[in-house]
Amino acid sequence: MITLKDLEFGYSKGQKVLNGISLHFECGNIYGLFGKNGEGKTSLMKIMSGLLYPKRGAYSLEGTLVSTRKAYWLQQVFLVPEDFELPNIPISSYENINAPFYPNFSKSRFHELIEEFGLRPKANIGTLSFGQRKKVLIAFALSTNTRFLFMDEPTNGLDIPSKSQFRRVMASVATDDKCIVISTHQVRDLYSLINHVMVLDHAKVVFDQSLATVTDKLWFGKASAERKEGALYSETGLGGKSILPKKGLEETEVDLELLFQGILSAPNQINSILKR
Amino acid sequence: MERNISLHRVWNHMKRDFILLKSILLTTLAICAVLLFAVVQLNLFWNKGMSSDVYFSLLAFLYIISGIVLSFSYFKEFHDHKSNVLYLTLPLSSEERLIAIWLCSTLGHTLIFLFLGIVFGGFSIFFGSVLFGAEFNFVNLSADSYWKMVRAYLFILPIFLFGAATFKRNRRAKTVLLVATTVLCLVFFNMFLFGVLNRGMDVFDQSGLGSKALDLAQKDFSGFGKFIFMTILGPGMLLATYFKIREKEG
Repeated sequence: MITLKDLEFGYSKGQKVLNGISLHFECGNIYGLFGKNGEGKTSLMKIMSGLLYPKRGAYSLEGTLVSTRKAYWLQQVFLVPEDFELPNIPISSYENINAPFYPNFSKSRFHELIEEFGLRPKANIGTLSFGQRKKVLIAFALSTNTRFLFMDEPTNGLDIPSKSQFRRVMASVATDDKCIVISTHQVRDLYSLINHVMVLDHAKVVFDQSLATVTDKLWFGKASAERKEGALYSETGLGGKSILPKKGLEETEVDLELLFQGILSAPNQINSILKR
Repeated sequence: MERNISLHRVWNHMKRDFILLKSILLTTLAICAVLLFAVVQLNLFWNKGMSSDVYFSLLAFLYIISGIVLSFSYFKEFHDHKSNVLYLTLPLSSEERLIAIWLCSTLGHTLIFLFLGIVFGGFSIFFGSVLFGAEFNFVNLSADSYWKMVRAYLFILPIFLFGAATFKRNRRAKTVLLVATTVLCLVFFNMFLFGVLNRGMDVFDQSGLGSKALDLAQKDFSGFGKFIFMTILGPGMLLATYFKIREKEG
């Protein structure tokens, strides 16, 4: 369980990247952390991984306040950064030099995932493309078996088949004792994977709801002109989709991209419907 | 709750460093071996022998310079913004990172040079003695100059580790500049004190006395000075390096 209380963070004086952030992450969930570019998603991930310290507020992991980085604490956390570099060594050597730091590392899981991603353990990382290197890192991250896994824009650099492969792999590793937080601005990539949505906008949390609640209270789809009048959000243009309060309408699948657009344009209306 | 320092993790960090820096370590070692071999051969050819002092001066030069050069490599990942996220999130405490780097750059480096100095150096002397009919001497580790060299390295290295942890770019040049500036400031401060304390002797008025003061300031290293240098500067710099690592981690 991770609790962030009233966090404040900024890189320069007077400019707050995160302001009054209060969030709660429970194990057994895959959280989607959305926001436009530069809204503080990466900074929040870095704070949660212990790489940055907030200027104000409290951050606790499993009930313990995180103020200094301890090895036993870092053993529970893994961050897959958006931009990274891996050494020019074979994949198997990368595993050999880094796996001993993670007590629950699964060698067999790592080799299964490497094979699933179509890579060879003897391949030199230096010869791989960015997408393939990302797969190596994702395979390593999932094999560490840390309780808290943070992924910053994990689908960036992956081709279309790899994105669906990523969703499949992620779904297979999600267990009740793990908390996975995936930050992205490519909302569509996390379709059918996450079960909780958090949205950052203007340095604040503007949305924090489970997808079950969203499904329960909102309707997504192409609405008739009559229904469109009561829409919480409607896409502009002919045949655009809308978000409506469900109110007796049939259940629809959550359209994450539409929900994200709706939250950015009418956060208060959408939140007020969900909180009823 | 787990301890903040685990020898197992320190050892894993050292192994990780040796594998990641294998290429630069081998290249540096190869350069040192070639230089050692070449200088030994030249000495044996011209002088028909090589004294223990000359040999250890050469080895000390290679040992200290290569150690300083390599100490910066241990902090390469630490400063690289693309690879440091993965490095800094490795489950290691700041203490473990510092201990591992210090052990690699002192114990590891000394052991490697011990091998180079005895085995390769011995072979070079033997080879040169046979080839040029020079006097043959075994490399003697009990020589005082060898242990002086190790001691000097142990106390110089933390200054460069501090520079490696502090500066992001042009780390070697900036550290050398910092050391040179500090030494120069100390020399002038010493000279200034010498002049003030011996004011009555018109130190700076009389020709020769001023430069004598400068010479003395550079040469005189009192017991107190030695104590400051050996017990405060070395460990003090290591402590400063530790705080630099902590600063970067957060």
